Amino acid sequence: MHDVVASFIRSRFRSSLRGGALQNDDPLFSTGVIDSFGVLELIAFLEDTFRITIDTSRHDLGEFDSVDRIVDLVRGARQGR
Amino acid sequence: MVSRYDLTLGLPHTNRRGLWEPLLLMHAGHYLWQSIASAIGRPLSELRTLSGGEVYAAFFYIEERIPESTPIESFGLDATIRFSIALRSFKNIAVEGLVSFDRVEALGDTASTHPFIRFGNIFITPVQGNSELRVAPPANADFSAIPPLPNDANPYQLTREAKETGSLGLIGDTWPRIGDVFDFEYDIDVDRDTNGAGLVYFVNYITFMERAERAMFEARLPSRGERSLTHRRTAYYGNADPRDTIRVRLAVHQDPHRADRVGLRYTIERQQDGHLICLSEALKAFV
Repeated sequence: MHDVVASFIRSRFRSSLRGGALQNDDPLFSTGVIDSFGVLELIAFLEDTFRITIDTSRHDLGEFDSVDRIVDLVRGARQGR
Repeated sequence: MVSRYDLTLGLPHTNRRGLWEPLLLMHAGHYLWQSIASAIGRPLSELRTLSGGEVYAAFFYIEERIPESTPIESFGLDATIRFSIALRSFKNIAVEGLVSFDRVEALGDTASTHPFIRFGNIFITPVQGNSELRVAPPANADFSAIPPLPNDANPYQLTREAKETGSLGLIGDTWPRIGDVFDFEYDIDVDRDTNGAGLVYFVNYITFMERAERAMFEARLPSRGERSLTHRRTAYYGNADPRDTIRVRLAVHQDPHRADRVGLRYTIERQQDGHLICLSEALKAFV
């Protein structure tokens, strides 16, 4: 799951990564890898790919701030958390 | 679910030529947020994030289509305009509003094409003053009454692509540019240009573009006449601080198929850091 998420971020936000490596614990928003509006695309991708529903009224956007945190969120959504 | 609002034009809604684009957007945008507040059952000023932070409503995309048979300026004093607004939302984060409008008496004519505005809206919270806007979904509102907006129909896709290409797709690659790019600087007026959220009001970026455009035509193309908008796309990427200076860069392109029409591409940046705030393209016919 980490690879799928990281691959999406690398391909979709390639220009802001500027060729740099992406570690699973790298912050995504504070470093500008994903601009704030990019969370729209990220959520749509996660829901389509992992067939989950993310209730954004229950999650802080900080929960999308690294590959690790995104994977935790997806696992939680799969378990109904 | 369609909301309707009627506006009878008076002097506050018009300039010397009739209804003015920024004033049209101001009212249409206000009605739009009224319809969103009605749909979610809560005034926008009460919206809060999960952690209790304040949430503001922002525009990130606007498209205006104005048939040449119904130019904005043709709406004059005492005309009653009816705005019909249909909403779709991407969760509780982004809302698309389709606003069609026309004189009340013209709406019965089903053969006519009516002017419309497409708004892309998002909930944000300011970070570091107004220099950065961060998406902030409200946690205390119910969006279930608003039909869903599919991801691939979200105007966010257009704004993102435009940021990478510098183009919003209205001006053809082969359209020749008339003269050099024109630079225009403007000092934000802290009283006149801000709204109740302390942000530079979205409509005022259109007025900054208009000022640049007027200055450019007066300096370089004084013999060309007034212009009338037929199509505009605008994408917003940030905001200016109320004490910032902004720089508008304007490029004018000739429509190779119509001598009486030009395409205008505007880029607005914060002067102090060069941060891109807004891109806009407009097609205008000389009248």
